[in-house]
Amino acid sequence: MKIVENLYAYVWRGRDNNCNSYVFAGALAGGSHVVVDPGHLVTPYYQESGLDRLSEGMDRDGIIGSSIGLVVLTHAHPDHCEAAIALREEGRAMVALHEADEAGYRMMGGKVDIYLKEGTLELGKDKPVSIQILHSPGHTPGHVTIYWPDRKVLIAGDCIFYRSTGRTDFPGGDARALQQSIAVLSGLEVEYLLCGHAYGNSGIITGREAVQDNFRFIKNFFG
Amino acid sequence: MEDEGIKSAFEIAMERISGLPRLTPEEIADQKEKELRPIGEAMAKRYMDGLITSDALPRELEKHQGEQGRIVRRALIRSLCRSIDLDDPEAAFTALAGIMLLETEKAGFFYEAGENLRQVIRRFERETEEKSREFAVLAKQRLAGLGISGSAVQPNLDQDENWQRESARMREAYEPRVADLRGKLLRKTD
Repeated sequence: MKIVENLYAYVWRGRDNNCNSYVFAGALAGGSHVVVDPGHLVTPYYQESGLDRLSEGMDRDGIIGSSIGLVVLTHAHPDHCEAAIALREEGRAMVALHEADEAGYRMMGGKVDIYLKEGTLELGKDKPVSIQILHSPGHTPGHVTIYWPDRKVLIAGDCIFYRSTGRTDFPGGDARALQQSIAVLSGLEVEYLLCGHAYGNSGIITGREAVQDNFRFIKNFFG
Repeated sequence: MEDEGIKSAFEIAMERISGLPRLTPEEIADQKEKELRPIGEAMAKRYMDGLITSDALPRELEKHQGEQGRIVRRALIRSLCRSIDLDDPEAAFTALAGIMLLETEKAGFFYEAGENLRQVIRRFERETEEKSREFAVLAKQRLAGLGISGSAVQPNLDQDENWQRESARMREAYEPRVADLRGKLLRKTD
């Protein structure tokens, strides 16, 4: 599903838990794509092919699913990053992750090519797409969110969902840090809030008022 | 009732070992070494982990006297010497400080050894830092060529084959100097 310009969303509709994936189509030199959170390679319980479904979805949108140049991981939980390990092993993509999540990723067999720091990530050569990487810890120590100011898009990973937030009871989770991260994100101008999971709705919240309403609900409910 | 035929397990065991040949002095020494070496190695590990303070290390060693003390001391010092390498400079200096605590009468030699070690490690670290900066610039240029750039991008050089080769080359250049120093320390303390 096209969100805006060359940004596509792939909402997970399987029976198992898996994340939503987002793709900056043709963003890199040579026209290869940037995938944010490719999810599970195969889901653990029902053995659903996460990566194959993503590739098929991309193919349906006219994006060559096999041509991925870079995977950006919001964090290193298997439902977000497992397919990245396979993509890198097959030599199909480099992987970018915040250094604070590397230890957990390495335990799963993952290798990181680029450490993401808070700052600007330029995708493309001639007319690069300029996005902001924000360090948003809480769900994990190295969780990042991705903000595209020109299009007012926020890819929130597992920081916030529709009427909910990411869990903080996993190793490295920190409720106070998550609260602070959400406070920072709520100050951004956002028209498209793209969440890491289809919990409660598709995980795609559109319109400034709806996004602000979601932030207000979370702040009121979770303090 | 007669019970001459009944023997305890201890008696049976004693009967059996009475038939074994006696250990030679070398074998006895070897046995002692095997038993006592782990005590020295464990003491070194506890010191390196901070579980034995600098003040307490000589006192811990003094608990073992005579021949036993000599073996424990040698194992302790050898273990500390093994901690002197390029991977962890802080551990290397902690180990050296530990050796100096046990070899107070050779303070001059160890002070000089410490200075040598400091120089080698400092040069190695400086060269590594300079080279890693150069390789980071090259890696960023390669990424920019692929359309990936910006202040959020920090290449992980550990996954860069060129850097791995350069890093191994530098290590090969400096490691023999540290090994030479380790050898000198061992000879001086033996």
